[in-house]
Amino acid sequence: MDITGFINNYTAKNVAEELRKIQADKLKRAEEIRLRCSQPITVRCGSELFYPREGGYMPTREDLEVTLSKMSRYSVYAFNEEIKQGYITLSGGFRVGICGSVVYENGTAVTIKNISSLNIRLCRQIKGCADKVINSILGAGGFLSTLVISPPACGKTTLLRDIVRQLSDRGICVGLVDERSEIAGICLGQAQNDVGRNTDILDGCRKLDGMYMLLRSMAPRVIAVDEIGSEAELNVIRQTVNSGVGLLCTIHAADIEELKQKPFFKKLLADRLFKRYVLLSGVPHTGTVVGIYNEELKICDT
Amino acid sequence: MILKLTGALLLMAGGCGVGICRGMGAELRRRELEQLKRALMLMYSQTEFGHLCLSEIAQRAAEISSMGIDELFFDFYTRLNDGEGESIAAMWSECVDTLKGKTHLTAGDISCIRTLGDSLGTGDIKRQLSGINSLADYIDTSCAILAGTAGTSLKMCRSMGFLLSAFAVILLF
Repeated sequence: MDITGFINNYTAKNVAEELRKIQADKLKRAEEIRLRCSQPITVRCGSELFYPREGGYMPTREDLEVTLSKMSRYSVYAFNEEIKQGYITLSGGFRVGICGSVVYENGTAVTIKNISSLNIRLCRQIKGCADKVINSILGAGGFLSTLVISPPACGKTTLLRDIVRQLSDRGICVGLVDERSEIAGICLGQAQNDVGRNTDILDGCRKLDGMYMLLRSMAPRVIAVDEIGSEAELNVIRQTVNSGVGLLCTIHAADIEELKQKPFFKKLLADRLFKRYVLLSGVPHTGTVVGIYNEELKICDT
Repeated sequence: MILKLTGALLLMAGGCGVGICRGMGAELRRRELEQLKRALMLMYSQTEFGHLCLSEIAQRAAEISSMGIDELFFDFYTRLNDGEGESIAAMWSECVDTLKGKTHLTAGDISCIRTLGDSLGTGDIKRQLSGINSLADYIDTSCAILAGTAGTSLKMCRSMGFLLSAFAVILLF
C-alpha cells in the first residue's frame, strides 16, 4: 500500500482532506506524520519538519479516534495487546505510535483511552540500502555477527531488513524475531516487506523468547532482532553466538562513545560477541553509513 | 344462491388464511430472533477467544445465519471492508434499517438490535461483550414469550379470522 492509499483507507475524512493538500513529492518523501489533538498536523521528511499549510485543519479528538478505529479495521479491541504497549502495526508495515490516558488495572497498563496524539511512521523498504555493508559483514567463514548502531529514526530497521533480505537470498537461513511487526510487517500471516526466501519469521514475539525458540527449533544460520538493550538478553545473545549462530542486531546510540558508556554494551564488548559494528547517522540523509568497525571497535571500512 | 354460498365460503376461508398467516408471523419472528442469537453467540466467542476483527466476525456470522439475518451481517461486513464509514454505530444502524419489511421483527426488536452498534469495535472488549450479552438476553426473553404463546396465538388468530369473515358474510347477506 502506498502513502495515498494509506491516507484514503486509514485516516479520518477531515485529516485525509488536509493531507491530500501536501505536494505529491513531499508526501512521497514523508517518513512520519504526527496527528495531535487541536494542534496542526506535522510531517517529517528526514530532518525537515513541515505543516501541510499555515492555519490548516487541526485534528479533533474524534478525528484521532476515527483514525485509530479505521487503522484497527473498526476493531480496536482486537489490537488492545499492541495498544497497551503504545503502538499498532498496519498492513504495509506502517507503525502507529499512540499517546493518550493510560488505564491501569492492578498496576498493569490495560489500554490507552482519550487518544491525544498519533505518530504514523511510514514504512519504506529500501532494497539495496545494505549494499555498502554486506561485503564487510560477510567473512570467509560466512556471516560475521553484526550490531547496527544509530540514533532513533536514522534507518536502523530499514538497514536490518535489507541485510536480512540479502543474506536470505544468498541461501543463508535467517531466523527473524519481529517483536513489533515492523521488519517483515506481517499482516494476516503474510509478510508485507521482502525479507528474503530463506527467512523464518516469529512475529509479535518477545526478543528473549523468540531467540530461544528459533535456536531450539529452526536451525538458523543467523538470528536477526531489532533494538536489543536489556540485561536479560545478554544470556541468550551469548548462547546464540556460542552455538555458532550469527547474530544481527540493532541498538540505539548516537555514536561509538555513547555506546561505550552503556553497561549492557560493556559486557557485550568484553565478550567480543559481535565481529562487526555498523554506525548510522541521519546526516546528511537518513541511513548514512558513518563507518564499519571491527570487534575491537577499530574502523575497518567507511 | 350457489354463487353466494361459494363467495361466503371463499370469504371465510380467506379470513381463516389471513388469521393463520398472522399467527405464523409470530413463529417466523421467533425463528429470526433465534438466527440472530446464533450469530451473536458466534460474535461473542470470536471476539473473546478468536480475537478476530469485526469484518471477519460479520462475514462468519453471515455464513452461519439465514432468514434475512445473513443479509444484515453481510451488509455490515461489506461496509466495514469498504472502510468508508466514520462511525461503526452509524454503519450498523444503516444495516439494521434494511431489516424493516424484509423480516418479521418488530420495531422494538429493531431498536434493540440497533443499540448493539454503540458497543461494537470499541477498545474495551468487555463493553462489546456486554452489548452482545444484553441483546442475547432480550432475544431469550422475547423467544420465551413467543414460545409460550405460539400455540394459543395461532389458534386465536385463526379463530379471529374465521369470526371476522363470518361477520362480513352476515353483513353482505
